[in-house]
Amino acid sequence: VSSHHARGLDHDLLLYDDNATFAKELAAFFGDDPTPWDQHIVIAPRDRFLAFADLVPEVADGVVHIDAAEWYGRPVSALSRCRQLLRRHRDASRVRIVGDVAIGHDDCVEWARCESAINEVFADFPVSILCSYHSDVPRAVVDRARQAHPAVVESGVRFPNVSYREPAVLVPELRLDLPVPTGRPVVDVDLPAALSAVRREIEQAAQRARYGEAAIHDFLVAVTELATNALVHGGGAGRLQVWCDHRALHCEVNDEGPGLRDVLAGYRPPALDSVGGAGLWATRHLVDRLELLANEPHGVRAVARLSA
Amino acid sequence: VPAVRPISAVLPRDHCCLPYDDHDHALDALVGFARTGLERREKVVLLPRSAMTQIVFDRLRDTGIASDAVLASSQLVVAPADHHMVSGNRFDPGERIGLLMEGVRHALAEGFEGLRFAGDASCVADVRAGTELLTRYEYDVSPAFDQPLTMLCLFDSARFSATEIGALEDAHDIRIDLQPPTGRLETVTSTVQPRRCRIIGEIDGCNLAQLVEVVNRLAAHDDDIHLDLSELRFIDAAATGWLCRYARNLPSGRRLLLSAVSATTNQMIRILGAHQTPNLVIDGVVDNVRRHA
Repeated sequence: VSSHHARGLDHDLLLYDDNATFAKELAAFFGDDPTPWDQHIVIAPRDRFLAFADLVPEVADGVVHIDAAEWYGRPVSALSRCRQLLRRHRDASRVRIVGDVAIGHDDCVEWARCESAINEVFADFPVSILCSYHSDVPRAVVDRARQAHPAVVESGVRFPNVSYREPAVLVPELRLDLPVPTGRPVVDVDLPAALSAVRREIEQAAQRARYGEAAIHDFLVAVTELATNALVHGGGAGRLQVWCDHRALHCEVNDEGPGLRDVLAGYRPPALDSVGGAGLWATRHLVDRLELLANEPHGVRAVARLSA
Repeated sequence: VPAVRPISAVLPRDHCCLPYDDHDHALDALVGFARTGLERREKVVLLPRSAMTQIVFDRLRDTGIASDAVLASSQLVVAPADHHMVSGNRFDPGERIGLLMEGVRHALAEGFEGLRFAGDASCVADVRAGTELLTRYEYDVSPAFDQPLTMLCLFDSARFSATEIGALEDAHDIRIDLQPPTGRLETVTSTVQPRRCRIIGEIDGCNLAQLVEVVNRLAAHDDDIHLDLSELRFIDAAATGWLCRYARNLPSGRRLLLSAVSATTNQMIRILGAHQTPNLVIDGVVDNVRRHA
C-alpha cells in the first residue's frame, strides 16, 4: 500500500515520540500527491501544529488547524464532528484529516469502538484520516487503536496493518463491564410505562442528589431513548431501572427481544431523510457510558451511565 | 377482555383493534402502526376506507415515513379496503385468512421480517350477515399469529351497534388507546398574523402523532409554520428528527420557524446534524434548561 486511493476512505495509524517526527510524517501525508481541490485539516495541540508549520511552511499554508482542546469531547463526538467537516467540504475532491488523539484511559474502550466505526461509517467518503498517537497517550488506548486501523504509517510509507480487525468483529469484543449498582433503584417499572411519570421520579431524585439541570435533562433523554428502543426494537416490553447516588445516574433497560442486530448501533450518524437511528446516536452523545449487551437467552441489556 | 395499549407499543404477532368515532383517530393509528412496522423492517399493508386512502398516503409522505426508499422497496402498500376486503358483496373469512397467510409468505420471501397488516373492516357491515362473519373471522384468524403477522383492525363505531363493537373487541388481544399515556401535549394556536402555535408539555414516542397533526394543520396556510417552544418541557430524539425532516421536505419558500428553543433542544438538533437543515429557522435559543408550564 504505497499511495492513497482515489476514492473511498483511508484510515491510517501513526505512532510517534516527538514533535519533529510528527511534523515529518505530516509533511509526507500532505505532500503525497496533493491536488488544488483537496482540503487539508490538522486537529492537534498548537505546539505540534507549529512544529509542522515550521518544517514545511509552504505545505502548512494550505492546511486548516483546529485546536485539539476544542475538538475532543465524548469519543462519539469525533464522529459527528468529522461528519460536519465532510459536509462542509463536500466539494473537495478529497479531504485529508490528521487527528492527533487526546483521549484518556477511562475512555479507551469507547474510543476504540469509535475508531473502528469510522471504517464503516465513512467507508464511501473521499477522505484520508491519519490518527496520530503520541507515546504519552495511555498504553491501553494505543493497544486497542492498533486493531482499528486498516493501515499504519511509518516514515511516510503506508503498510497494511496485520493487527487490523473488521468492525463487525472488533466492536462486539470491546465491552465495558458496568456492574448493576447495589442500592435500591429510584425507578423500577415494566415497559410499556408512562414515561412522563418516570421522568418526574428521576428528575426529583437527581435534584435531591444535587445534579445540575443540564445533566438531569441529558440523562432523561437517555432513559427515554433506551425505553423507546426496547418498545420499538426489543419486543415491545422490558424492565426499566434507574439508580441515583452521589457518584452517578445509572439506567438499565432489559428486554427479551430479538437482540442487537447492528454492532454499530448508536455509532452511525442518523440520516436526515429517514426515520430511526437517532435515539442511540443521541444517547451516546449525552451520557458518559452506553453499553448494549446481549441478554441470555435473548434480548438486550442496555446500560447508560452519567457520572456526577 | 383485550389489553389496552398505545399504538407505539403494538408488538409483533399482536392482534389489535381500534373502534373509532373520529376519522382522524383512524388516521393517527394507521400512521403510528405503519411507522413502527417500517422501523422494524416489516412489510406494511394498509387498507383504509376508500375515502381515506389518499389522505393516509399523503400523511405518510408528508411525515417522511413513506420515503422514496420505502416506496421503491415495496415495503409499504396502501390500498382501499372496500375493494380488497369485500368482493361481489360477500365477505369470506376463510378466503381472507388464506390471503393473509399468503401475504406473510410473500413478505418473508421479499426479505422482510414479517407482515404488518391494518384494515378498516367497516365496509363488511354492509354485507349480509357481515358482522357475524367478521366476528367469526376475527376468532378464526388466531392461528395465523403463529407466523410473523401483526394486525390492526379498525371499526367505524357508526357502522356497528355497541353490542357488535363489544363482541368484535373481545375477539382481539389488544385494544388501541390513542390517548397519550405519557405527559400531556397541549397546543395554543393564535389566529392573528403571524399565525403561531405554542407547544405545551412533553413530546415522546407516545404523542408524536399529536405534534404531526398540529404542524400539518398549520401547514395548510400559506405562511411560515411557526412553533413557539417556550413551554415545551421535553422532546425526544425521534420528535426532534421529525421536525427537522419536515422542514427539509417543505417546498421552496416555506419555512419552519422554531422560537424560544431551549439550549437542550438546540443541542439535540446539532447532535442530529440538522442545524443547517434547509427551511429550518431557529429563532432564538433560551438558556434555561427546564421550564415549567
